[in-house]
Amino acid sequence: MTSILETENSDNQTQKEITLIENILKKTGPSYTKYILGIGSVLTACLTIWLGLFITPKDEHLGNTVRLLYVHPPVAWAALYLAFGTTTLASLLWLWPKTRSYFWDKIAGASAEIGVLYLALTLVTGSIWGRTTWGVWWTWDARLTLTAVLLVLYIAYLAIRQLDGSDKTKANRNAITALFAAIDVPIVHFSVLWWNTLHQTASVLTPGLHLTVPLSMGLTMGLGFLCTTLIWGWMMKVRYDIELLKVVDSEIELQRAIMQRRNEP
Amino acid sequence: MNAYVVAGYTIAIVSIAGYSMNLIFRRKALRNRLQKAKLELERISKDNRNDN
Repeated sequence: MTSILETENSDNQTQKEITLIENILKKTGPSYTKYILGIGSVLTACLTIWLGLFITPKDEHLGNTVRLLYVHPPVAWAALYLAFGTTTLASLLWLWPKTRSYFWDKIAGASAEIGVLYLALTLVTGSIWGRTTWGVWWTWDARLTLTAVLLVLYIAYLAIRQLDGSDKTKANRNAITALFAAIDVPIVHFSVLWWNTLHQTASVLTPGLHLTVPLSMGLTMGLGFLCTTLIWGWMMKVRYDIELLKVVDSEIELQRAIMQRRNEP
Repeated sequence: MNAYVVAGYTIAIVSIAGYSMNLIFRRKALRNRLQKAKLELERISKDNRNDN
């Protein structure tokens, strides 16, 4: 009798695990959102590169170097405001008791990882820009230094996410670290106004939303912003899928469950 | 066009494409792992029922 009950329980558990896996595979499979974001990213990227490299005019003073402007500000926007903004918001939503959910912790981590990639690209493209316009690869200018500090802060945040602990402890620790790192974002933003820096202030759009560059340049830069935003959206979707799959994989301890069933009479 | 511009665009494209591929392969590997586990669990479940 006991043996029959045990077998039934084991079979129920197996069925539950199968259903869980089926659900997660369905949830992380192909979807219209991923297709739209993916195809949109590729199309806008191709269009930005084509317009940026071949169609838009050279600048009177900067020559071809101006073409870096279609890459550098868009990746900086995606890193500082989109990715790290999402990480900060998601961390706040985790810390706020009414909205607390592990979903926010995973969103914060996913967005920070993408933000680090974008910020590293911001520094690299900015450094190339500096070499051609200022004559140096790097200078200890306030904007540059604070951006480098920001990169280190978010790399530290990603490292802290790997530390051990209970799920709640880890999520609390992650959220507090993210908020600490986020303090540097507005400092980076206002650094060009607070200090006398080599880095220029916002110069393409005036505060009254008046375009100071030819329309083709403004449109190409706008397309660059759209492109980095779409890429961020697609990456977020796939990165979140990975988090979900990892949770299911570890939660049900598949290998152990399989071995146990194998050893059953 | 100058070498600096080409270098800037190349680094951006390669980094973003590289990270995207990394994400795709990580997701694919995890999905395959779960897919295999599901098949194994289904086989075990079927064997258990046959044994009974």
